[in-house]
Amino acid sequence: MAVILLTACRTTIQIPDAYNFSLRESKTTPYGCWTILSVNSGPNLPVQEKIAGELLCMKDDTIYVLVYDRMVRPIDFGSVIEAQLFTHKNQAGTYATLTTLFLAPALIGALISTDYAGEFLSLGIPGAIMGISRMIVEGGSNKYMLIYPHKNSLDNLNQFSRFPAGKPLAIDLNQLTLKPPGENNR
Amino acid sequence: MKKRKDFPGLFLVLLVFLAGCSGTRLIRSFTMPEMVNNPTKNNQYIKIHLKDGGLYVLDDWKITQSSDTIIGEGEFYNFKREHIGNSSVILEKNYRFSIPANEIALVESNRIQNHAGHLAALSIVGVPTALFSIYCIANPKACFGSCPTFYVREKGQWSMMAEGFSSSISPSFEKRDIDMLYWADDPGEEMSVKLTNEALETHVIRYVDLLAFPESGGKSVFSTQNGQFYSTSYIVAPISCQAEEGDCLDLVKEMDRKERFGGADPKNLSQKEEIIVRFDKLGQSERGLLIGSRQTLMTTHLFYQVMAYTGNYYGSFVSEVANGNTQLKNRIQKLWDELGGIEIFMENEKQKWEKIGEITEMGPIASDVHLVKLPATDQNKINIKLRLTKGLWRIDYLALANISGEEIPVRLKPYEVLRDDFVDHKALILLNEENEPLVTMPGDRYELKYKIPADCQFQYFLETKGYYLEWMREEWLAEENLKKAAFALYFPGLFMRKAAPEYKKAEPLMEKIFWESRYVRQ
Repeated sequence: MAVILLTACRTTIQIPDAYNFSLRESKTTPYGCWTILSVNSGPNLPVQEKIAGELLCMKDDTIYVLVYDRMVRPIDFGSVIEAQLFTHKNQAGTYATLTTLFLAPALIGALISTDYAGEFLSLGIPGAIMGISRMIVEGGSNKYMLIYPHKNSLDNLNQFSRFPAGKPLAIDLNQLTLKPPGENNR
Repeated sequence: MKKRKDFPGLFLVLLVFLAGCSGTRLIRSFTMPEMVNNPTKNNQYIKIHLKDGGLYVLDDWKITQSSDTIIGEGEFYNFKREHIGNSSVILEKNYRFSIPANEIALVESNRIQNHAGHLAALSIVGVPTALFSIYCIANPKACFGSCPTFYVREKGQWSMMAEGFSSSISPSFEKRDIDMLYWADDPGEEMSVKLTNEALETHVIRYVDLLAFPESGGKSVFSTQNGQFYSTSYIVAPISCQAEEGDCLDLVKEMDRKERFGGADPKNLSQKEEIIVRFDKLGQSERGLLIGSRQTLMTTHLFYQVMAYTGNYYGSFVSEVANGNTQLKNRIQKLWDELGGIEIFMENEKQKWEKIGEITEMGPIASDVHLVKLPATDQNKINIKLRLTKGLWRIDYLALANISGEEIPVRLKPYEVLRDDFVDHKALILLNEENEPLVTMPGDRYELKYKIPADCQFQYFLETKGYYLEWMREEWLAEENLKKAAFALYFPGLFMRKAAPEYKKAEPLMEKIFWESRYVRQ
């Protein structure tokens, strides 16, 4: 049980809840994904800055990140040292919940019927092994995020922006707002 | 055959393999509007990014034949991601949008990888075991029970083939039990029998002997209820079998583990039913009815229920019976007699049913075949009636055989005993000397080896003697009620009526759960 809880705790905690999309929401959300960029804060300066926000679009070697409501940070491609983009919620928690649900009757049975504790636990073991294995895989996997420059180009990250076709000509990006907390997709 | 010690390890590896080694991933792809194909399944979401920054999220959509418009239902957002319509219309869900291709910048689709299959695999394993656990919590008397159990190789694999002295629930009920090893392989020079204790019981075993009968001329040997052996020839199947539900011939004409059984009566567990079986007459020689059967879990369930009622006094009850309290012993016997065995009647010349025998061997684990000798008759057809308690018996086999003569077995005692794969000299001595028994505890397993006389093929039976002590389960103590225990023992007929509704609730899944939940170490 401790393994289940510990593994379940290893989820995406660095990003706002509103952008920690469920799997279904990740397919339907009208917003871009949350990204955290490590950038050189100025030309010829070794100082690094972390910029976090919704990825809006990329155009002309510039990344546009909505950091607050109506506040967009344009970032030059060349200044990006590292980037993380979170496509969906880490599924370790989902598997932890399911495993706990499947295991609970066996644990309750073992506690109630101590004489049959071994038998009850043996009933729960196959599901627990599968569930915990899956939780470990999910918890240890980075498949819920894209990491630049490791394995991904900035173009890959652009697929998960609000405007993957590029910045629409007629709009002012500074009119845009972040996804409000608690807003569900329709 | 080599033992598969690596099985648990392989099983774990298989489970981990099923869990997969890659995390859930979202795959996003884009196409130009003119390249979009119609969806191949329902609820295939697409997002249509417009050149002005607007976005349609559609879950039911199609492309017109001219490929210049996408029509669909879903949501529409402006570039600010406000959920709005076009210039004047507030769009409602189920509104069908018509989106010209020349307004579309990109069409986005998403696919989840490494999720649905793993979720299904986990559910396939987790849901049934969770349901079994819930069932066993609710009906603990239906799970994990067993009697002294014997495994013999059948087609090269260990197969549960016999259960020893199932009705011997205390020292005073100790008895000899004979089980036919109907499906046993020809063992060659050495026969192995695996003896296991798979329940919360103490098994006290005087001996486990192999009875061997040389095979000759296609004759088969069967035992009677009282332990006599007869060789038979020319065995014929019935020409008809009629039970309450109709024709049952297909289920009983061969010993094939396809069994005829019906449900218990919902108002009275001792309610009887009848099965009528007809045979063509076989010559003039002495004949016998062969009947392959085992019990359902009704007896086990009722036994556990009465045990639960005795609660903390169960030990005292067992001691009383063991110390010679014949009145209590008779009460227990009467409780089982209320359910009864399979009574066998034969129709005589006057078309009257005449009782000729009864099969009373208890135990739900392994079917056993018994021979019941029939009286001589001149009739052309032999009509047999079986009278049995509804829902108590599973009948696998009914046949008529010509009896050739009585047989005396070659008795074989184990020459080597392994406990958990290691030689156990003490167990060997105990099983060869009847005075001091071998006592086994839950989880114990022994392999008994017998030397087979050379140059002859045999047919085998297992003769066991002993008794067992069922352990009281802690959770059953909550049901302690000596009045109910006394009611069961003094008014068994009424008790069978009282117990019927609760048993009927558990009955449909009882057998399935029992077999799937047994903790069997092989």
